[in-house]
Amino acid sequence: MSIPAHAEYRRKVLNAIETLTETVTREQLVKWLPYFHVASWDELIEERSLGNSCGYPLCARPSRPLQKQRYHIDRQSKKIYETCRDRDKFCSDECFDLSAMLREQLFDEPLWMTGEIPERMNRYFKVSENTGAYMVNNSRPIIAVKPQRLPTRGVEVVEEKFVAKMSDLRVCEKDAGSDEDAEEEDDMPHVDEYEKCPDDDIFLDAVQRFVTSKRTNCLPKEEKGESPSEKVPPPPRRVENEEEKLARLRKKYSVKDGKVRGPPIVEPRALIERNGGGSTTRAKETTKALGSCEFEKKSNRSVVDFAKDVLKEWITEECRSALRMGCKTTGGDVESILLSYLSGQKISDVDRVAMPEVDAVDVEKRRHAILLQSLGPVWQELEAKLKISSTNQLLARLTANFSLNSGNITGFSKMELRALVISLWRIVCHMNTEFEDRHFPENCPSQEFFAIARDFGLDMADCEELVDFAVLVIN
Amino acid sequence: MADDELETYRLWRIRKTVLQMVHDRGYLVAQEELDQPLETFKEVYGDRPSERKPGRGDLTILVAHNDDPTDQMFVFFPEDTKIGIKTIKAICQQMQEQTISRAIIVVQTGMTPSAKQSIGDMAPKYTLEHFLEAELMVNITEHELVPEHVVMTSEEKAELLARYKLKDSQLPRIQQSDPVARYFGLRRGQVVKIIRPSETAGRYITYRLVV
Repeated sequence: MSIPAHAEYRRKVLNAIETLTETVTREQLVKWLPYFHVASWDELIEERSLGNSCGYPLCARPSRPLQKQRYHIDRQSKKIYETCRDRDKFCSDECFDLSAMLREQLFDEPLWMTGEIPERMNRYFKVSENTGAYMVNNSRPIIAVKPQRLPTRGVEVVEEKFVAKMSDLRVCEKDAGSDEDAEEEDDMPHVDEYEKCPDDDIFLDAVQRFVTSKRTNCLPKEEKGESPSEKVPPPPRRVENEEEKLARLRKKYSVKDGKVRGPPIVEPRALIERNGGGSTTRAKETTKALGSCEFEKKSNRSVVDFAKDVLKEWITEECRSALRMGCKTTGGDVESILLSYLSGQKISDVDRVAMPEVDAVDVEKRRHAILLQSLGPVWQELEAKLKISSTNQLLARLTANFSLNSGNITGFSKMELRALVISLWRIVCHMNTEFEDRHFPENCPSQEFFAIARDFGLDMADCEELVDFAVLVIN
Repeated sequence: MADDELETYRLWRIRKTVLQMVHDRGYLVAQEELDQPLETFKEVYGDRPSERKPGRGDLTILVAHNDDPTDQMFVFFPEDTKIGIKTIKAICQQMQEQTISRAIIVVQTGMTPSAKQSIGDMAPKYTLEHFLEAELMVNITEHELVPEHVVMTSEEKAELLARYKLKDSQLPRIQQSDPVARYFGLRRGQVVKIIRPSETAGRYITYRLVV
């Protein structure tokens, strides 16, 4: 290249710098960019900052005041950071980044080395349009904002934050393994000993899920085979898995979360529907009926009707089928799974998990106990009158299959209890042929039974109606 | 304030050297200005540079040549610590307005490369020379190891070349960036006569062509 041409190119570069020293529009910037190389771009930034404007040619704001402090000492990590002088040549870190982006795209060789080759002049430069707010072609008045300097951003050396985070996470794992509710940070030295075993992949997956749902106390403990220094009594793994599943399900079925389902039985759907649907209204009705009974000096009529209602509520299809089977004690999980398998029903995830007791109480059992308690005295009265004993077992077995809710287990008046007990006795007799033959020969109450009913304050018609209804309801 | 005191002293020294330099180049400077003591300087310009008394702008000097009063020269003391293109442009504008083609810029810390280049680009039309303040703290020509330099006029140069039957390229050379050459603001093709003492000859004269 001849010397005059060389000088000419130099002049062009200088011209480009001079032009861009003034804040320009995006189009102008793109037009001038091919003339720049990396070093001249730095010169341009220098020139602009000397003119007290931001180093990015599209930005019309002033550059931030030069920092006096050159070094920053971090006492904790015992490091010395040098403040980045280049950043002070810009109004903000955004502009610094934009400029760095352009600088990346520029040629390394100066124009006077390459000449105006087409490759250079036609090169496409990606210029971000992000500076919209500060661009000159934007007719908005430019407000000279005194830039706030973030102390952390000026520092060039960046701590390994990500790594630190990972190690923190690992410590948490350990915490959860050693102690259920320990959430504070503790000593680090274990971290180095840790070696990843294949189990951990599953574990980490689980952790990720848990971290999102923030249920740290449910962390599964699967790190059995790790450091022997920690005396972690490995809890039964299956239980943990279930808890984990439970947490997932809770999240998934959060709507139904409040309600507690009974143990998985053959027909859970009907149960759920009843529980979810009519229980509350039914409860109201019951209490209303209850109230009316007390105020109207309870005619037997209403007592009988009430007993019928309650019976209807108690005895569902599920109970009926149990009765048909003779009300055996249930065979536990195995049988229920077998039954559901045989019935061809698809077992949902919800049923597969053994629900833990909410508030450490099995609500179903608790309701059953309350019912037995409220029925107890009257039942014993009946037993005494019939001169038999230990039928409590039968009653318990029968009522275990009832569908109970808060509205139909207690709060009955004496008359109502008596009516209910008579109906229940009929059902119990249905379960036991010996009693049935004795008290209900040919499905009709015996004279002895009528006498007892009369003692209970129920006339023959009422008694008969209750008994008949009981038979009707269980079949 | 100690800082002010030091700064005033610096400014006085710089100004003194500049005036001597301008005087040595043949521009008209009053003798009392050349001999101005620090006290007078303080009286005239003030002694609080931190409060811009004097500001550097106040020190600007305009001098005219002894032989040709239309040949004038500016001496600028820009406020900026580092000079960029913008300052150069501003100076140029002022020179254009007053139709003055020569100027000296006294720079505090430095100049950007593009500013230097832009000075170079204006070279034939406007002659701008720049000196660092540190360079002007002392007058180098007064140093005992610096021999006496005399700038020759074009007539003297022609006479020299005729006498020794030389082409100018046959003369010994001196760089334009040589401190003394810069002091005298020499341009390419000029010749300086250097007179140095010699133990054998009493004094020895060489001629140097500025390249």
